[in-house]
Amino acid sequence: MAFTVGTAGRVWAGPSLASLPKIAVRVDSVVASDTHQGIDARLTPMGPRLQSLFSYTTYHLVSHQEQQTRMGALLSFNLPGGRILHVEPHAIEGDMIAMELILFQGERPLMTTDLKLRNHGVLIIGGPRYEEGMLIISIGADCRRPRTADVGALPLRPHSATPQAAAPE
Amino acid sequence: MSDCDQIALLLGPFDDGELDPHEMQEVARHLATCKSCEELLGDYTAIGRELREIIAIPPLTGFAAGVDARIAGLRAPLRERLGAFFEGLNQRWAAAFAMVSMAGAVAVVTALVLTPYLRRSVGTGVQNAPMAKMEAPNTPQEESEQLASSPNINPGDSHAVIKRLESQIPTTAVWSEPENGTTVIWLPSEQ
Repeated sequence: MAFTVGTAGRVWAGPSLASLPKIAVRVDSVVASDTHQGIDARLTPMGPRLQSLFSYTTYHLVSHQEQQTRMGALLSFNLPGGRILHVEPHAIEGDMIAMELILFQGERPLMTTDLKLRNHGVLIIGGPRYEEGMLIISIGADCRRPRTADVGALPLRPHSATPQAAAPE
Repeated sequence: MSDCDQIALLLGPFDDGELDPHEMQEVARHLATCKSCEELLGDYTAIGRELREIIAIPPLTGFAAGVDARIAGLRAPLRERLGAFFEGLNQRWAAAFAMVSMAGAVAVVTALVLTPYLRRSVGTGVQNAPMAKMEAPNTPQEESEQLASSPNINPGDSHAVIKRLESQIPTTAVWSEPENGTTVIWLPSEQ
């Protein structure tokens, strides 16, 4: 009986979780300042990019976090200065990953954006002050599709507007 | 013409009760005083009675049904037949027209209902497709605090397409660096 109900539930639920693509989200928090200390060695792949974008003389990596999630699930990243970043990938459209980002200062949302980021692409959010410099948040997303999955645009899932803290990895 | 000659003409109808009331009274008053007319009336009455006894009344059982059957068997005139034919044709055409109209309406409604789902299922691979997201309307106060939505702020950069951007900081800036495939959202700290 339990087997029958379980099987029926699986059939009714549609594609299994294993068939859905996973999204890996990388968040690097960097403090940029003019203290002439150069680029943090841990920023090797990202350092030149930051230098070409900004004109600071010091780039220091404060934290590196990476989390993986399924489509429609919310990820929460704790950032320096009591900031929290919510990332919710909700669809894959071609080579782009559609997602919603919300940056909180405490419980107050500073910025909300809906965007599509190319797979393995990078979005940088910068500007908030942190210690003696500016905080630069680099957000990258990678889609890892299962081999046999046929994944299209997936439905959205409503989420809470209040921040949920998560311990940095 | 004497009174008896005039009354004699009325005796037959009088016997059958077919005279007007004033004539019936006049004939009855005359008969009360005229023996010959009374005898003549007796003759009429006797003849009528004897005739009714002689004549055999045919049975009327099934008469009405027989008449109806005869009427039904008669061929209707051409004009009536043509009228009935065209009336039936009109009713058939009206029914057919109603059926076709109903089928068309059902087809249109079905197409209208199914089109968004078809678009969604067919158009998932299209770049820059509209996001399936509804934004809650902002209050005027919120709108004054937020930067106006900036759809496709960086349409030339294929690395990121910003569909919506709301910020509490009015001087928020967005730019892209196609050379290294990076999009930047700059949120200056509030002083």
